[in-house]
Amino acid sequence: MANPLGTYTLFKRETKRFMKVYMQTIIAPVVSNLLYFAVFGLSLRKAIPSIEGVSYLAFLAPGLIVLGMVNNAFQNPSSSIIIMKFQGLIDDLMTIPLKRIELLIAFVGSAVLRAMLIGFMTYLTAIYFVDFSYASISIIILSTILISFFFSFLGLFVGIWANEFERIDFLQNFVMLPLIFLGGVFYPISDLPPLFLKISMFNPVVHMINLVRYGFTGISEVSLITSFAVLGSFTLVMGLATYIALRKGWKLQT
Amino acid sequence: MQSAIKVENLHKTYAPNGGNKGTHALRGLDLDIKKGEFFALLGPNGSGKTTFINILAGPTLKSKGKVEILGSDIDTHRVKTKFLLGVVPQEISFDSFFTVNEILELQSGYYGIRNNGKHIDEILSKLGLKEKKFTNSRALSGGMKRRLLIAKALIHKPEVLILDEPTAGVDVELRRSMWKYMKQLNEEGLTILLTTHYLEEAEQLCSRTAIIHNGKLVALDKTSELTKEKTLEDVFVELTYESDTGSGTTTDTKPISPNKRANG
Repeated sequence: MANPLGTYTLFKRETKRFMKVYMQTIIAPVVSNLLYFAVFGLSLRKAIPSIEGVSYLAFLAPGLIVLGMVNNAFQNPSSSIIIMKFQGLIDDLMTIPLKRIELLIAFVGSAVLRAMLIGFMTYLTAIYFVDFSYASISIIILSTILISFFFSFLGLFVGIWANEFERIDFLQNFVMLPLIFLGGVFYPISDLPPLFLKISMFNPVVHMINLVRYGFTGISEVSLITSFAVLGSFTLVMGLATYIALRKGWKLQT
Repeated sequence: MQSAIKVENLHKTYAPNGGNKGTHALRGLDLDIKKGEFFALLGPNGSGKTTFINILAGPTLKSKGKVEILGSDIDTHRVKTKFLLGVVPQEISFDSFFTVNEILELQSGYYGIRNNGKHIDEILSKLGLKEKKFTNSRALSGGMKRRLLIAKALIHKPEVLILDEPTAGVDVELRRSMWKYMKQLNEEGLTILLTTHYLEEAEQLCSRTAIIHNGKLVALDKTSELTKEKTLEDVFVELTYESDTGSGTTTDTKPISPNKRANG
């Protein structure tokens, strides 16, 4: 018994929720990206004048687009679910007539929308700083969609798992942030010592940034097939894990 | 007559959690609530009422047993049975991002109803909330929040309404108007399952009453039969608190068989 209107309504609820606090959810991330452009861009572009013929700012911009998308895709479902837990609204969620797959579609759909919106707005602001070239628009679109899905699944999974805000903060600050910052947002990973370069290959964010950066600049530090394979399989596994958690009512039903 | 809610041998055991030992909240509950009834489910705190309601509604998973809503098994027709139920939970909680109207529009949408404005207005009028239609739920008083919970539960015109202590903390006047409305809905065919600690409400409103204690049914009869010789409060105390005191434990109570109540 499918309930498309119910699914759309939950998607709408999730979207309205972040649009109602747009200063915090849309404007703030774009402003922080502008600050990154200003601070890192202006200071590091002297130290790193160009990378494979591409200006440092053009090199940096795709990394910042990914950075904004990752954070927002993750935050949308994780904060929504944990707030529901604190407000006692999880029982409401378990009472409405939606299948688990429909819950997944609604939460992830809204998180992907928010991530894409942030990515697009970061791109629009970056246009003022950077002369973009577009090596492959289809790779930009495909990789940003996959990135949004992966972190939306992760955010939903973490929201389901967490009993308190602290757990989400811990994961964001001690797992995600290091992975993102060591993922080559601000520098080419090929500059890393060989051992760290090898370790970096296991960091999915490296592959995400590599794909988006290739889409804009044509620079690829890792094989595109490897990056797509890593990103695709991480997304698939995370999606399945999240669906199974929802299906079992893990940490949602008593 | 068709059963609105039918449960057979329903068990719920909560797994141990941290320092808490596991709890056997429901121990083989059997109940058959008929379509169109106004049915009271009474029991002391911790007797299993809310666990039972949460199993019907979805937040809690049963450990064993069979549950049917209007003939549909909740294991095989989970979504369908959710469409049939309206639930007023014990705890007051709302989406603090939204106004009364937005909450009810979203609730309509979850149940697949588009453009439900007319029905929303009707319910808000009946529950005295029309003037608060565009007020954020955070700004409502406790009594208004309770009424909004009822509006939410009724917005999709359910076949069965579950009221889990709906009048806790509600003033007398509001309680009266609420019950008047509930009575009217029941007369129009809505099946209502009520749990309450105000026993006089059950006595006045409900045609049949069940009492559960320690997860077991200890009485089930027409309310008029239960109160033939004693008040409902006396019956309730006798079957729950006094039986506990008698045995000296809250878990090994020997219940009075519900079968002894002929009209169960």
